Amino acid sequence: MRAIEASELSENIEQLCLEISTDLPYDVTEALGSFTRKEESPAGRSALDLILENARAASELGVPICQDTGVFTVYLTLAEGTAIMGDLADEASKAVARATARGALRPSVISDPLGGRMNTGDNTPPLVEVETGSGETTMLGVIAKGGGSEMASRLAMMPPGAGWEGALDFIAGVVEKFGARACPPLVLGVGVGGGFERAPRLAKKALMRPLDVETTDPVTRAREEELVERVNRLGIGPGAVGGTVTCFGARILEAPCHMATLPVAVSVNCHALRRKTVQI
Amino acid sequence: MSPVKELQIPPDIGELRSLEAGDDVVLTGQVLTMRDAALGRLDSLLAEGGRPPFELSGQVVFHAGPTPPAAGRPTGAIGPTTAARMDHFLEMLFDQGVVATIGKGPRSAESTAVHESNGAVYFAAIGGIAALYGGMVVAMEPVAWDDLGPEAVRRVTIVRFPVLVAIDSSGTDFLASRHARYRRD
Repeated sequence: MRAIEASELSENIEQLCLEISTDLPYDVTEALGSFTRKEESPAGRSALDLILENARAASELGVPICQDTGVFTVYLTLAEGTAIMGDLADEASKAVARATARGALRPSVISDPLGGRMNTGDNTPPLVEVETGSGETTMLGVIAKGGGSEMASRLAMMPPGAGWEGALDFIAGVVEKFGARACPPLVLGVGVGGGFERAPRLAKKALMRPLDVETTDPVTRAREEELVERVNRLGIGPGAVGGTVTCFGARILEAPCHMATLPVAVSVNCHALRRKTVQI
Repeated sequence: MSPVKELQIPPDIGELRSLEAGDDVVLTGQVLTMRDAALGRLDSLLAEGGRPPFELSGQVVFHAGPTPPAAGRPTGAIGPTTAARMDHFLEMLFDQGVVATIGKGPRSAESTAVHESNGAVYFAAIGGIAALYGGMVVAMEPVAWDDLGPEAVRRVTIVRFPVLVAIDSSGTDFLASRHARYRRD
């Protein structure tokens, strides 16, 4: 058995939080660049140029890509036979608090949501998702998700017969209604199956999938491409100024579910898809 | 496309009514940051018959919650938050004399009439390019309600800050027309 100290992971988490806040991942800037060539609206192309210029400026100056530095989610997938020693939730919180101070990040997390809504001041607590795996490697990932795109995300408990067509209509409808507020062009994480609590978690986790590595399953890949194409007919465009690029990537994750259900969740992400995964 | 109009605020406030939906405008001057929490507090205060501890008449309100100072500037990153979330506070702001707002994304269809009846303007900025906008801020000072943290009211001095007239003072909605223009059914 291999043991990993939570306190050691804390440093990795802090580093990932800092890095994703100022440096847009390579696959995201590449995808934005390639979709700029597909944008028919001049204002939309200008918005995409500004988005890429902003990413360069943030990286060079070491300032956040967006003033909404988001809520952090930590993903830890343990290799088979690996154990965590110590309090991971506490260490992840400490890591996020250190990153918030060092990176001059905006504290955006409040406690008591129905009451005082007091800002916790340091973006704690982060969400922590731990999965036990059967693989040989332990992977650590962090995503920072902003409030605007989180507010556009939705779950539908659909009838089993709705199928992919029903899911597609639902997701396109969500983007039509809320996408313009979520800082397009968007990346859509989709979670299908699993149940009421699992589908949204799958949807968010799908956003961790790289955009420059093709989805291996051909049916899923075709659905992801169809979803991007469908959403790009909505006309919202980059910066919501009107255009043909409303979405520049989609990833779908599925899980088994009850035979009476078809849970479909879409985690809408803004163009600043800030996430990174490293091997521990 | 019409040439970019440069406005000094507050001196050129009177010219807001001459702007048309779709105009590209560059703003220089002072704006007040107000978003969800500050607007909610203002709403409660007014409902209790109180008065805000700052002047709103003739002001431009920027729906924004900036990051702390960084890279030697007053804020590392500042940018618009979703304007539609603030729509139910628009009447209140205009009643207090606010002349324009800056935010991101379309506002509700109902809000166009509110702009028309008040002769107010909604400027849209682009969401998620806050590192660039941060370079257009030369000063940021606290005004009120510091306990709200990033949602406190701040006076921000902006220089050559580019925005788009998304709803003009006659209530014309530019973004909705652009979405329809590029829609493929």
